[in-house]
Amino acid sequence: MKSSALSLRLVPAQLWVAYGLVLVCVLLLGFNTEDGFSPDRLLRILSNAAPLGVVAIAQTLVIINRGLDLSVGPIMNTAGILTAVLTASPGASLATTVPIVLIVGASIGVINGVMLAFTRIPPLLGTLATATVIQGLYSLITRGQPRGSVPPELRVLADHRVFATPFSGSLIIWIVLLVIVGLVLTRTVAGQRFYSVGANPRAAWLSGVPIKSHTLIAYTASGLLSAAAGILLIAYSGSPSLTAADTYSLNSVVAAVIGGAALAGGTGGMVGTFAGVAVLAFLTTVLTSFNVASPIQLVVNGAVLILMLFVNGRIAKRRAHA
Amino acid sequence: MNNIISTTSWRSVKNARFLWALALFLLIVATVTLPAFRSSVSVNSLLATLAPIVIISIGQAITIMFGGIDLSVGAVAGLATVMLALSGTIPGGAAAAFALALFSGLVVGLINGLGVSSGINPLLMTFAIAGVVQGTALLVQNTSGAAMPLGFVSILGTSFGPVPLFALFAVLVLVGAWLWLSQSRTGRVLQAAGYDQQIAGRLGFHVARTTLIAYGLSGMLAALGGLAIVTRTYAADALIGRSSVIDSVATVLVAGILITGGVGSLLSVLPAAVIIAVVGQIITLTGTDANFQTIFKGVLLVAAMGVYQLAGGSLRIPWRLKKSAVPANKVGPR
Amino acid sequence: MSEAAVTCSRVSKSFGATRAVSNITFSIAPGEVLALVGENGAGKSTLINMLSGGFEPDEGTIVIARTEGERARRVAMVHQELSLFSNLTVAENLELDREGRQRMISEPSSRERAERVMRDLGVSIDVDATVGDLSVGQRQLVEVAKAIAIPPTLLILDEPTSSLEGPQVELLFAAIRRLSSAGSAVIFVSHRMQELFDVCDQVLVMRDGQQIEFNDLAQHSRQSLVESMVGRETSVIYSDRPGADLTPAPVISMEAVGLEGKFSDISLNFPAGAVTAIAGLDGHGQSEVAEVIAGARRPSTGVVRIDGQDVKLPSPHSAVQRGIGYIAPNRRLDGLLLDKSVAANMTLAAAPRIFRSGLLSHRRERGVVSQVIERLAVKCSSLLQPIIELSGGNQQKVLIGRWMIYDKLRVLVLNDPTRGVDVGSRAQIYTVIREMASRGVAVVLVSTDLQEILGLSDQVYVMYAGRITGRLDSDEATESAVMHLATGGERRE
Repeated sequence: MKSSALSLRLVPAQLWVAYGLVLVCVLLLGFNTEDGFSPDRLLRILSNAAPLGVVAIAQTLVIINRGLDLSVGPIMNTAGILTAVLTASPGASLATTVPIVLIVGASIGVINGVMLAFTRIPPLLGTLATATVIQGLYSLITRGQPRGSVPPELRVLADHRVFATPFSGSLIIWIVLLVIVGLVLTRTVAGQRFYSVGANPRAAWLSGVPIKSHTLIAYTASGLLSAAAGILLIAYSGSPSLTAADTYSLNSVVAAVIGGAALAGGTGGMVGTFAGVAVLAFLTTVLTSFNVASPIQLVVNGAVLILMLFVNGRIAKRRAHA
Repeated sequence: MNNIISTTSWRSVKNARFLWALALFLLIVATVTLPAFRSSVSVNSLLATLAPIVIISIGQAITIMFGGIDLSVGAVAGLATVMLALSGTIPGGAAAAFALALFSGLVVGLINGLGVSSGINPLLMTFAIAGVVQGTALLVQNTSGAAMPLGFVSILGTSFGPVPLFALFAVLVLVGAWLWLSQSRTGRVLQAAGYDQQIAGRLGFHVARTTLIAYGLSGMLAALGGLAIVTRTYAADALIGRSSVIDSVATVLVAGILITGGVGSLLSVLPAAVIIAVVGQIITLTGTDANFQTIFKGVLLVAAMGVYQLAGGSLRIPWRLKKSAVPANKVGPR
Repeated sequence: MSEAAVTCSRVSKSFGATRAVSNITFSIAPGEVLALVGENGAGKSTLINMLSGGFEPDEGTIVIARTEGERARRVAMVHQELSLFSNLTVAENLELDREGRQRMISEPSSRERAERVMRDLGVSIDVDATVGDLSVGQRQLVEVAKAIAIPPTLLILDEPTSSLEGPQVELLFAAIRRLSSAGSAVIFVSHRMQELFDVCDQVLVMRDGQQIEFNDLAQHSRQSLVESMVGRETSVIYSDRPGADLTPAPVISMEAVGLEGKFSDISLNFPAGAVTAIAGLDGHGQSEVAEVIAGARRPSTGVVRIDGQDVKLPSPHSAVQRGIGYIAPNRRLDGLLLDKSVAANMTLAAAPRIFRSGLLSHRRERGVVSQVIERLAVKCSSLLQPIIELSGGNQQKVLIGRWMIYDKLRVLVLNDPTRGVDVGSRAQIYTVIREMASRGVAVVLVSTDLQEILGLSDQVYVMYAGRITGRLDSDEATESAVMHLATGGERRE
């Protein structure tokens, strides 16, 4: 059942394009390699994309609310570094470490949220500044060398299948988060109001929607989800890093936008963002399978993004004139 | 002077008095407290570091004045360094490669302009282009196998006493761009459209053409900045401009050029760059952890925004960067 | 010399299903000043947009005479929305407007040109002043200066005096007279009857897109002109009803409330079950008073009371929690979620009250929204239709519906509620407003539409220059009584 909150005609058109692109990549992948269409292979690709997937959820939520969070990458790095450090200390376990890391991420989100809700600083700059400060802080504190190690229980998340299903722990966590956030956005009053705030903040404000609260919640959730994504990332990579997640900031924006979210706010959703992440993940894999050198991959990624932006723009324009 | 330069430009320059004073103050403090700072080599090094960032920031300032942003400046700078290394393989040698580098910057900028004027958000468009440019630059760098024309570069890198050639270029470009923005019709339209694109559209200004010019200039200046970097590094490095985006945005912010567009003085880019560079130098020369530089930049961004907040300026970046969904000049039944 | 400056023949224009302008025919000789009158939504703005070349008519022709003399602009328009860049100076704005050939601007000559234009207008505004620093009235004068810098064949002025003070209005009229004797034709759009009689020769009356009459203005008196504009429907729109009881303690009241730069010493009472209007000319502070009640502006001084208790309304959220609903004047900018559906727009304010569990229920939503759609006869294909596709009148009905379904509503603040709304929709909206009032809601009506105020309200406060100049009961409120107070007159006892 579709929610009346979403503008029905806008999202599907862009979704068709995004999912169409995913399909093309999957087909290319299938025909080009021996594993072909093996579901195991496809699921593994998605599983590896789980960190980007989770952080894209965060970004989509913020963008729907007419915001932008460029600090998600550094928050992911922080989460990774912190997890490694904490689990290396005596008496620590995942059960105690993970909540702490999530709380730290959420706290950074609160700082972003307070800054953006109560001042007129634009989100681009505000979160860019937060990002830079965070980067400086953890570079300073770790003196360039993050310590600690990733506990094997965590690595299991990324590698092993859960209960003999073909899904890895990371993938399940991503899907579950997608579903939860998606349900909140489409089925709850609060979720619908995020769209209203994004669509016309002033109209929503005048009608009594608590704008500041929504902004605060959006960025706090973003911080929380980014921390989770950071944990998923080191589960996959095996070692904490100061820079591994730097590209995730902008890539999460790309995934959201490919999935139909507009930087102006008010549109977007989990279904679309999933497609956006899948496009990025499969595109990279396809290019690698064709032995395309990484510089060319950069070019192709950029070109595909521009194409998607252009197409989405045309769709939006056609709608506005309808 | 008051009669030759537009009143608005003159006022913006005067408003930036504090900035110039601060820059001067910092220079004096650094010179007095740090002996290392006083050496001629050190001055030369400071100016050589300043030149590229000033040049790139001018381009960034132009797009920001126009109400947009250019995230591809770093990639273009890297591309320029790689282009110069092609001098061995193309007819015309180093001079042609130099021209080619500038030309590529212009072309990239024009592509950015095309995308933005067709409705794509500048943040996303320039980011995507940055990826494309960086990839292209890496390709050229890996495959060319050509070498930097050392002779040519050392000529470009000559200094007159402590002042490098490119520092002079930077000042020339700065003043030239400032005059252009202030006195040319296109420059005025840029300021106006940057302030309120809807009214500009309603009045029939050539917004699309101005978009192309703004981003084209930014691209070309980013390329020039990359060439300035080469005179220091002597290397073709596609990734050399990694920090240029944040550096240029921070410089423009500190320069008081409002991210909303249409307000601020281009000349302020100079003291802003000086402030950031001198503090950076102080950090390096006093042996403080280099990571403090990063924190400093972040704090600087926050402080600059705090100043805006206090000044009451309204900043609305992401949605100002978008074209309004409802065309401005369509007046249906009210 | 006998060639008309402007000729319109059977001009029509539709936007989708709405016929904005139909079959307009008139002509203006050089030097004549035409008054263009009609209520909001009559089609005036569409007509002048076509005259200025904004868009083409669907049917009919518009002919603007060729002018002799180089570079005389054929049609100049002074819009209602100002087209000045606040970051630049007056001289720079005027300069931008010129279609110059030269690339580089010479500052001294640019300034000199600007000074000459301002001198011709008789205005003493510093050409080096940044437009952002000018008052609204001054900006409007600069706009006029911009338009007449090069005498046009046709000058269109759209509500040019809405922000001007008395002496400034005189300057404008002097300029119009000069232009007209120099041969320019002028179209003057205004709601201010007195001004039209001061300066115009002919009149074109429009209603609902149709041409009601095109005549010499001298044939009319103010009364007859208003009648022509409004038609006989006045009595039909505003139903007879028993006067409301104004005696019970007010739901909400203001005491000595002031907002710096906008209004001061405002003391008002809004009783439950009554429609209380705040009348006055545009820009004299009424709109800001409405915003203070709605919690959208914080007053600098004074006290707002609800049920006798002092309250602070720091945001619309707190106001809404206390039962105060607000409909802002510019629905496109401040009211509608344009991309969203009718249902989403309507439930924006009341959603937490409609869906008590916090979860959306489409059945419940459908039930609530359909009731309103039926009650207000909102023309839409379904409740999921994007609201941008509805006509202005139907959009406004949805906005009214937004507060109709809010069960905690005690005060409804309406700011220019029927701007751009067709007569039929207006009648339906007025009926609903009166119904809400009779159910106990205190309605605050801020409007520049005098007929609306007179027809709907049980009491009228009048403001002038940020102060209350008087209060009138519904039987005392006549157009002249209100206008008298609205133009600064003292309350005659």
